[in-house]
Amino acid sequence: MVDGLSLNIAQILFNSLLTGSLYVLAAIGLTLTYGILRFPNVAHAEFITFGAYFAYTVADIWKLGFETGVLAAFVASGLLGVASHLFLFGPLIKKGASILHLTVASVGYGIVLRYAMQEIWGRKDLYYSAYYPGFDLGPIRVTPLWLSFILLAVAVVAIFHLLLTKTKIGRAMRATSNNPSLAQASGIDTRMIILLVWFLGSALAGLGGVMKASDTRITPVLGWDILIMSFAAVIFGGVGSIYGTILAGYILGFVENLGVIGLVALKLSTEYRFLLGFLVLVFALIFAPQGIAGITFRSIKRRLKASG
Amino acid sequence: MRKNSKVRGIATSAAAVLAVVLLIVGIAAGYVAGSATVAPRTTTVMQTRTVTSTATQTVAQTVTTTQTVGAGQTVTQTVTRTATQTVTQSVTQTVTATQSVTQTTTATRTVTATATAPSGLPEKVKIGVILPLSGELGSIGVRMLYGSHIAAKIVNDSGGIGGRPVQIVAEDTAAVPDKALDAVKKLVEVQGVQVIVGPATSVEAATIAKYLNDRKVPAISMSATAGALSNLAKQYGDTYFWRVVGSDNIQARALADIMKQKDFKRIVTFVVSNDYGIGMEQMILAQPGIKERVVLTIRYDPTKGDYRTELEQVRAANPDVIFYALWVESGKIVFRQALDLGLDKIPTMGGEGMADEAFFADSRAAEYMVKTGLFGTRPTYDPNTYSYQVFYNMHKKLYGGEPSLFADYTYDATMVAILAVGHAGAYEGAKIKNALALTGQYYIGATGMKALDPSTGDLLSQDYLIWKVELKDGKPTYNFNYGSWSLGAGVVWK
Amino acid sequence: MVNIENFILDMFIYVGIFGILSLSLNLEYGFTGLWNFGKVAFYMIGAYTSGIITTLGYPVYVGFAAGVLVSGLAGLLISLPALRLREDYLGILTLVFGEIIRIILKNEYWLGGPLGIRGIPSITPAGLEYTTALVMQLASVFAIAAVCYLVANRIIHSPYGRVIRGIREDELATASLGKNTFRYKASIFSISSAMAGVAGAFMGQYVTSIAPDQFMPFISFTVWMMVMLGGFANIEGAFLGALIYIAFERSARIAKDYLLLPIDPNNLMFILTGLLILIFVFFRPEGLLGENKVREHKGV
Repeated sequence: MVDGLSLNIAQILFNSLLTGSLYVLAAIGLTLTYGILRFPNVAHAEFITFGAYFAYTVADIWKLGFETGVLAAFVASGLLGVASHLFLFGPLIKKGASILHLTVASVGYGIVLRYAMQEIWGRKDLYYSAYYPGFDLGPIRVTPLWLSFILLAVAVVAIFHLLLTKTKIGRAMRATSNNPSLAQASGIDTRMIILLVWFLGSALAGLGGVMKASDTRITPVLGWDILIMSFAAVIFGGVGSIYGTILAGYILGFVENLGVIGLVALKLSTEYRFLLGFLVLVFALIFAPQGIAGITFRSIKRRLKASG
Repeated sequence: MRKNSKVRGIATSAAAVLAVVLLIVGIAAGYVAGSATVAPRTTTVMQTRTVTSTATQTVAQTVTTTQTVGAGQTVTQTVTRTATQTVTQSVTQTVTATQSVTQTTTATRTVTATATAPSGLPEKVKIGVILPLSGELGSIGVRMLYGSHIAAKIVNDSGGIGGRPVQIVAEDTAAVPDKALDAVKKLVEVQGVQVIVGPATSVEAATIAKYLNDRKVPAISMSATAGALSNLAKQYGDTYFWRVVGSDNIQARALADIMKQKDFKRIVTFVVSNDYGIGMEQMILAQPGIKERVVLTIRYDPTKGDYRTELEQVRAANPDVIFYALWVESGKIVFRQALDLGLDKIPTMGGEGMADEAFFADSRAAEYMVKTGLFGTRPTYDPNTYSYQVFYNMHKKLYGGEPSLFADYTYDATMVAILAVGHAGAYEGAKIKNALALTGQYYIGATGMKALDPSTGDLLSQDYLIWKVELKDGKPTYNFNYGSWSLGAGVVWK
Repeated sequence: MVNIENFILDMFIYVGIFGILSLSLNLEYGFTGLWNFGKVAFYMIGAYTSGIITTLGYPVYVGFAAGVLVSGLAGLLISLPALRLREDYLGILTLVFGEIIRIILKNEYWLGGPLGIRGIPSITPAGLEYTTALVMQLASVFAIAAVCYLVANRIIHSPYGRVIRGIREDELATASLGKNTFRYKASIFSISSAMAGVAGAFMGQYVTSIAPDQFMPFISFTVWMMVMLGGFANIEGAFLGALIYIAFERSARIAKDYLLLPIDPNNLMFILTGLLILIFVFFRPEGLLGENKVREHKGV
């Protein structure tokens, strides 16, 4: 029963960018560790949450300001990721743990992290004191916070692109992701690369956590709520493929937000909008298990073959 | 995919021993804990022990209280309690003198109830309380629990019920139905509790209803308002679920009347996607003359936190009022995002869930509520009654600050439970249940008269007040006297 | 009136229910190598099917049969597209499937909505003394569990069982031996889903009311942890794992009233559970009991 005439498409597109940016930030780290270590890290959800809480401590308890908090969250989450590898996943891998064991270990680890955070910060929801009032930017309504996060995500994407294609480290990362033993054999210090991947991935997750929390609230299940969508972005994009994940994240953001219009028109509950993302994932898995990256790769191969 | 890892841990025999040890420890801990004679550390202790190390003591007290209820009616209750305790204990504690409380009153109705204390009552009268102390409703639940403690303290300060002190035993349900069932089972089976206050939500109530009937343990809820719960008694054949708050069936009527009176023609409902929100939405839509005025219904997922697109839909529908039924934690976010999106020009309405100060914790949410002139209904309470004053002053004294939403109802539910035990003269669920209707007739609570219908466990009548969010001295507050609604009089603006 | 025996009976009933769930997961993962992270979906389907049918008035055994059939069917349907996927993808797909079902059940009023289904008739006659009813329920769930155990036992000690183990170890090799691996995987998935369904149907009539929020993804993870505790590829281990986990959880809930700790006992309980899992992964990754030894049957 919607008179959809005055629907503000621009606003919905903007919202999609925002949702997508969040998924991208959360999912990049996941796809990196998943790609190199070959297991889905369920505790990644807690890295997201941890970033949000740590930023709160820095910004509102130590009163060092929101921007400082964001930066601190980035670093602290990254370090948490590194520590996770050094003390948990690394030793397990060395012991020869299977992918399943690593996954189950990450589940247990996630539980420990989440309730430890609850112990430290309590179960009540927390809020950042920083406040940036909204204003109109043309046809859409924005707040400086939203704008900065979208720009942040775009910046991250750009930096990653440069990192992976132009720098030695980036190339080393891609090599390790493709074939760890070969990479090691060709002299790449895979151990450092892996730690770097954990740092970057977890740091970005923490950043995503701050972003979501500032838009909504800090709660112990912050990361868990977006974990499934993050996995959707990772798989839809193609595990290990950064570009794929980025594209997938934004596509999912769009599907979710635009889907609401359809749902309302069909008089269905808008809670189904998350189902839309899941359905995209399911279809992708069934018809294109390699994800977006796979499609790209294959079509490139085809084109190469055609051109001889 | 290899499953067999190359890793082998400790030897199988060691593992087997470990398994047996773990098992024994686990079960033994549970069993020992359950039958331990050591007094458990409770989550809260609010009691004054009146214990004499010698023989018999007869305490007679007459407590008469007056309350002015509403326009011109005065009601009195006079309760005379005679308690005879024979206490021989090896525990030596400090003796506190019993206090006698006498107040003056004038009466248009005098009720005398005598509860003789019993050899029937145990040393400590345990009142089980199940509330969400964590999770989405945690911040309200924790403060609702204060209501129970206040009731216990007031009773204990007057010498207990039937001379026995009241002990509140609380368990967290996180508003999750199977946790609620676990919590109730633990209270009943492990701690021998025979009367429960709670649960807070309707879905929890629906889940524990059969267990309550099977075990014959009555529960008195303070905030489970779904209409469907009135049918539980018929379904299970006996009334073990009671509530001291009116069913939402009635509140929906009130809201519908208001909407018609204000002549809203383009209503949008924006509700939380659970039993409370969806229930409200359905009940309002079912009211005559409302369905055609509703142009859009939206249900949001309280866990997601990103409601911008839904709110955009709301704006696109061009409503003349938005009706909200939200839970606090996600509700604050909805309001905040609505403000950010510039929706603050559209008037808003809400159910009782919106009438809690917890919303003001988020200044942007508060700003939205003030700017849109959020108003709504709430089961009524009159802060000028004596009973409410007693509750309020004790709340101020013990906890400072204003009571949270439903803390007063929790207080009343607990009082009803305690008094029912006294009336029953025995600490047995079935007897307590039978005493509830009687207790309700004679109890006038902080939130009004609590006459209960023994065939459904519902309140016999419920009035609603209309509240509005206003700025007072620059701070957002609730004006609880904006208007009122009753089945007889309809909407009355003040 | 402390009735600790009721508490313990209740605990063992849940051990029965979750033991069946763990058994079903063990068949899928322990023996066949399939990653099913959506066990809760089939548990839910069984509970809802049986719940809806019995509240419509049909006898309980019809409800149970329907629950088993529909979950088994759902398992079969899911396996068609899903089993082609590599194992971790299968895991995520099953996880997502569970969430999809849950959200639909929560939003469709004719399926119960968020309040779910109430008043599911139980197998014990009304008016029975409470403890006696509990004993009956316990006996029933153990009977069902025994049937599942026997089925599982038959499966693993048979040529069929050898094939699925072969699939676990090296699917390609098994396929090259002429076995239609897909058909084996699909059938074991259906059987396990049917088992999960009966556990759900039983739970529905025991608690007598079910709601979508009782079926969160965390339950699937809990079942995984039980399987890991008891031992992969060990059907007795499935029940052992369920027993350990549930006993631990229950005693923690009670113990928290008696222990004076600087840490909030609710949080501590979960932290300990997580640590327990980590300890197992480090020191006893194959679980407490090793894999079942295969017995060779003549002409089975």
